[in-house]
Amino acid sequence: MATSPYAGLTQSQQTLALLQAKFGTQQPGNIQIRRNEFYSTVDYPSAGASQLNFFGSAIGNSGQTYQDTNLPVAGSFGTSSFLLKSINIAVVIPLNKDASYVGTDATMVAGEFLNGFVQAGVFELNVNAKNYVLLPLPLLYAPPADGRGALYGAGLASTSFVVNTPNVQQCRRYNLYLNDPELFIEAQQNFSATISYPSGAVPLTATANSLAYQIKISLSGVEFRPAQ
Amino acid sequence: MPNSNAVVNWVNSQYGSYDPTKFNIRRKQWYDEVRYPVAGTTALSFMSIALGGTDPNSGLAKTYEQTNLTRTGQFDGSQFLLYQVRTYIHLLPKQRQTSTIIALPYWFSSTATVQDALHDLSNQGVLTAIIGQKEYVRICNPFQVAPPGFGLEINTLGAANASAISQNTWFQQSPDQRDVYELNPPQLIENNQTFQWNLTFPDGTSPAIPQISSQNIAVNIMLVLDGYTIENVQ
Repeated sequence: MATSPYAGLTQSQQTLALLQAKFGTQQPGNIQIRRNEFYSTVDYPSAGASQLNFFGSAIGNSGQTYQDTNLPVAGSFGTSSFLLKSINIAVVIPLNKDASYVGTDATMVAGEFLNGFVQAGVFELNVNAKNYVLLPLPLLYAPPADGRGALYGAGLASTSFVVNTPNVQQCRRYNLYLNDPELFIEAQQNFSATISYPSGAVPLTATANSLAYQIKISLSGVEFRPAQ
Repeated sequence: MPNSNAVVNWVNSQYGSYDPTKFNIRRKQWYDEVRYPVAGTTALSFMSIALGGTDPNSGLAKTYEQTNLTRTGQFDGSQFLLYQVRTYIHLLPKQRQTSTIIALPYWFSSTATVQDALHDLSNQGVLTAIIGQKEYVRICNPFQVAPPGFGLEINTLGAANASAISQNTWFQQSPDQRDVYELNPPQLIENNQTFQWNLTFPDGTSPAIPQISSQNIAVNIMLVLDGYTIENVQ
């Protein structure tokens, strides 16, 4: 009778290693790298908030879809390590239209950018217990800088005209906030990203147009994941 | 162990909260906002009131939104390599103005005189840094020459009204990161070194900020020192 390949396996580590080598889904010791961006989107409440927490829910949890996040594990990159090279923070307005060119602060989206919550806040990135990034005015200091285009519109003041309002954060790539030198966050390492308003919550000014505002934080860099 | 240094070093190596032989370098910003007096001023001091301290012009305690300085006139036990100096004239959000201002339906069309004053302010001032006992930085017209390098893309639009083009003005320093004032060569500020950052207006009191609806308008002036912190590994 053939000898079982598992004969003599009395040590659990040996067992695991053998199973991994024969039936595993990844090649231990081999790493693959790729450019990647981990992102997380959080709703900005109309009453403002003292703190918004990002990367706290993984994909599939709490109604999070790939439109909202691609994080595999809450507060961690899972089995991947990540070299953080840049940070982008963007205001997302899914339906970005003002009802009329002639409006008040309560109906004009532009007000939020010029004189609203975009002009306040503090961003913190903590890895385990230590703070690694602390940015004032984060929606300005670390803008989207993702190369998006813009749409401008104007209409007659005397008639109602639906106007697309561009995201007026800095979108040119040369305004990217570089985390230099890069920060290497190991696999399974816990991290948290927050935007807080310690001087008081900043409610929305443009509340009459019923638009929903979100803030999206993207951590861009290089992902190191097990080869498969 | 009769030698006190040896005692301290031994205890630190056994039970310390950081490794004195290893260092970590990362990008960091030290920043401080001070309230701009509505009547104008001849001088403003930055980095002189730490987190939790009271701003003398606003009477409010400083939070992380205003500063991350934990010691007056010093950094927190780490060394800092200063690369960029940025200034920002920060008109506070409408929701952080007085309740009368918050209730105004038209904030933008009301602020034209304020925007003019901010524009005038941007043409004045001298920023000076004294590290230890010696001057290391002097920037004339810092709001122009050392802009924030962050901000919004603002494009003015006009629309025909019944009889005239309707437009408004909004002042902003350069939001382009390429316009940032860079210290080259950079300046190292050592651990426990003291410093003073002052903005003066040698030609007289700086512009007053006009009221809107009989209300004082809250404007902060922010100084950002961008560079690299060299700190002990923990």
